[in-house]
Amino acid sequence: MKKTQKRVVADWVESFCLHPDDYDHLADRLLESSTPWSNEEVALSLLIFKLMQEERSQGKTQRGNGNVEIYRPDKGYEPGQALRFPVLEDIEGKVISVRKGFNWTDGEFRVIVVSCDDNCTREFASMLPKHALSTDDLGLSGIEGQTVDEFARFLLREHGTHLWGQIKKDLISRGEIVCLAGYWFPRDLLVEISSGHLNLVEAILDVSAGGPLTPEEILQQLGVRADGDRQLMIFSLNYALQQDQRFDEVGPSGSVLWFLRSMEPTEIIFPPERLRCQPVVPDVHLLSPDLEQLALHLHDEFSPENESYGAEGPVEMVLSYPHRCTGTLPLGANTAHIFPEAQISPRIKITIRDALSGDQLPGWVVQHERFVSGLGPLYEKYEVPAGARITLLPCAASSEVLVQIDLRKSVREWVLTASAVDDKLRFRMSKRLVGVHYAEEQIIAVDDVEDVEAVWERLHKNRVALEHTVLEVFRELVQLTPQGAVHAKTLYSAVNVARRTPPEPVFGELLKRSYYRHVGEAYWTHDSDSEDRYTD
Amino acid sequence: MDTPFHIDFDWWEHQRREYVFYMRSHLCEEHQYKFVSEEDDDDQMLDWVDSRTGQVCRLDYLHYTLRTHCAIHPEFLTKRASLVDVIFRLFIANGNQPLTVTELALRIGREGQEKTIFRTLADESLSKGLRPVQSGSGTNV
Repeated sequence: MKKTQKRVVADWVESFCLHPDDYDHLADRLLESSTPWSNEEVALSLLIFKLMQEERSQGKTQRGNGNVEIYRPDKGYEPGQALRFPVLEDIEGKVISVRKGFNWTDGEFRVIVVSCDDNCTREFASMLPKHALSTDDLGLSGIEGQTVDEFARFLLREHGTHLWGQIKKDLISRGEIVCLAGYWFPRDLLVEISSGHLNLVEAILDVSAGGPLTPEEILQQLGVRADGDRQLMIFSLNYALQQDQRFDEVGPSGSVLWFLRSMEPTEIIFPPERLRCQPVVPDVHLLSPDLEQLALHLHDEFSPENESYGAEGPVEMVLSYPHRCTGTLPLGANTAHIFPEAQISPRIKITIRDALSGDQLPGWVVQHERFVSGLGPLYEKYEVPAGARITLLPCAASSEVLVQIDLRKSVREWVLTASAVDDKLRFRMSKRLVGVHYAEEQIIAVDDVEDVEAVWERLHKNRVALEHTVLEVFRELVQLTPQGAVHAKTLYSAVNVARRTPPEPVFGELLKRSYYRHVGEAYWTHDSDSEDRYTD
Repeated sequence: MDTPFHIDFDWWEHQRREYVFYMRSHLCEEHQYKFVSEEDDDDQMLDWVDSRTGQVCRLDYLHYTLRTHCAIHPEFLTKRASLVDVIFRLFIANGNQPLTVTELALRIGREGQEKTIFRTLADESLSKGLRPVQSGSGTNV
């Protein structure tokens, strides 16, 4: 494609929007097909329609109205031909003679003498190849030899994001053609799903423990015959369920699954406060390269995403205390490929499979809040502590995930243990029976979960500053090693018993406060003479 | 002030020698050397094509040279010259498209001097063929 043509196409794409006759065309086509169309089908149909309109308009421009042709300097004309001149306020005239023309710049060409409707005689260039009025506007042929259909596909490939974004925006704002799971159909032409049917659907889902069920399964149980188009019936059912607050769409991208909202687990409707956290804004915490690398390897779901992270295959992760406490797993950049995703549904129903026993557990992916629920029974069964190593494996079915707790022979070991004393968080080393592989710097056992959670609640309610929490935890930890030094990972894990925090703000505290001192590798110590005293 | 003016080349038809002499006075330095004698190809007619409309004007060699070469230089309009000469050059440069006195004043940077411009153009002895457009003229030369 020539450079000038590329520019014209880019301008056309930039100014692309739908007009009333475009909507009418799409509605007519959908009515004819009686079947919902996919995003691509809708986009192609509209593009082809608009390109053909453009072609007709240019042809009309060239042919003029009726027998009057639009003047172009590169064309040849004969005496008697009627012409129109858009650049001269659409004046019309008739060619009365043709003569040779010449100048030093253009060489030889022809000159037509035109008797115009305003009783003036004018001369115009003819058979002059290079002139501004001789350009082909949009170049509907695009690349030579292309049909309109091929050109439309080309435009979608090259400018699809912008074109589809505009089409979707215009269709949604008009509201007459509705979208569901990537398919479109006129709302007024949908099959009516009565309130009686919807009540039946509620009962069907209720009997199925809330779901999930596909629309096909629901239709089958409703005993509704899909006279006419089955796809239209499914679309109509999905649309009706979407409008009804009783039903929640919980399928991953590419599939539709319905669940009864009243039977969804509480933690799905009201995500645990224990997990609530603000994502870290990149470059806010200016960490040293070593601390930055350490933070990266902790794979906290609220850390800035590493753009170069191209995860695939099994993922080994370390379970943090907040997730152990709530029976969840983090949904971060490193685990995103394991779990299904959805473009619109905030919650996706999945099946968790225990790699050791083969047992299946119901689970949920809660996308916005970045966690996966349903792991509680598994943690209890294998007595999994915070700091345990867990491996996640994708399954053939996208809505299933294999969870492997890394078991080993149970051994009594000294582990960091959290407890609550006088409503304050305390840490000590204690001997515990541990039957799973764990990350040494991050394992934390908890004596009395209820009391520890009460401390968390108090700190959370009083909005105690991070600086204070980190200092209090650090003071506790520094007493537990002969060297009086704390590993940064241990500090991160222990702070998360008191509050849910990504590593970057915690490590930022180490660098910001003069009373922390780096003593080598990832170890830090604390100078009590230079700190300010805090009280809860 | 709203009467459109242009160069009426019919006016110059009866004053050929003066026309050639006057037109040559507006040539750029390069073409002043080329046009060393009055007989140098002055009678050759060329077809000048308007780049916007495709309209054709037949111009003599001298006029064609002025319009396609000398008039595109920046100093063609900025060089110090009499009011009439400046207006004449403006019409050479714009392809003799009619302009009102008000438009002329704006284009040559003499806003507020419309009356002076009008008086100059009205004085036929000074006007150098700058005349009001006559209706029925189909060609803008």
